[in-house]
Amino acid sequence: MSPEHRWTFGWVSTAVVLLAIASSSWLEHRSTQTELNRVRARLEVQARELTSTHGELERLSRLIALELARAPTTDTTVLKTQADKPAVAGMPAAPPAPDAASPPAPSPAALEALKTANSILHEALSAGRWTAATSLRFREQLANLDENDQTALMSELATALNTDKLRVEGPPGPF
Amino acid sequence: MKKLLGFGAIALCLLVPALGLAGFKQGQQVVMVDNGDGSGFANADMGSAYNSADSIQYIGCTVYGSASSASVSCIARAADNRFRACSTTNPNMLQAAANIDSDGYLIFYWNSSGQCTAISAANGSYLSPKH
Repeated sequence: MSPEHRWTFGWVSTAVVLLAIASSSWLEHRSTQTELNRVRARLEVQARELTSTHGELERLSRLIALELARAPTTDTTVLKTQADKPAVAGMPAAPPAPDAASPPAPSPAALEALKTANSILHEALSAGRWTAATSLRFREQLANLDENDQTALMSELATALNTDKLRVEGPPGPF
Repeated sequence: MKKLLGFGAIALCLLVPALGLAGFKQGQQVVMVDNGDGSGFANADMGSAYNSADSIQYIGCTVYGSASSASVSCIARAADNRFRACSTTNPNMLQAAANIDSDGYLIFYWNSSGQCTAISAANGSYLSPKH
């Protein structure tokens, strides 16, 4: 091999090696990007699931709170206070005074409406469909709820639509 | 020649109002934007959404009132069949929703909890009426 050929061969070999290194890093970069995209998509799905679970937990805790408020009080503090009072002969013990700070207990109708509205929403979420008839039934129950419960349920419905978990079928009706 | 000029004048009279003096028009169909964090907005000229070639898209709000509470819920459906919605009991947004005209422009914003963060309604000559 002549010195000229050797020189050309050297340059070509260097160029090939450099090209190989560049291709390898580009492929690695691309694979990292793909992996990152996969992780991002997975995280997005998990975030949505967490949001949904959070909403579910909030609704359950509201239901539990309502059930507790409805149940007869077994507050030991109140009982103790009553017991500590000296009984007046011939006078029955006074009933415990209602706690002014606590919200009024929901009526049985409100409690039932909350349960029904929750059940309507759950059924719709399971089916992935929100129809005009569902909307009417849901609204009928919401009318018996206080503002906080109405807001929470409507927010949950809107979030389900915004995350493509629910689709409205037919006319929007009284959404 | 005179006849030709006459026809020309008539044609001009018919074309000028149609082309030159029609006024500014806006034709915004339903557009939704998701911000990626669960929030976003949807907007449209209601006339243009109604007049669109597809029979899918719509946008609107419903105001509810009872003896104890009032709320507004807005919903939009895009031509690609996505739904976006929000709900609120905020009195300012209730008032804005009460002023929505069926041929007007509507935009509503929501947060990641599905609550409306803003509702805006506009009316103007540039908006297409339903036909």
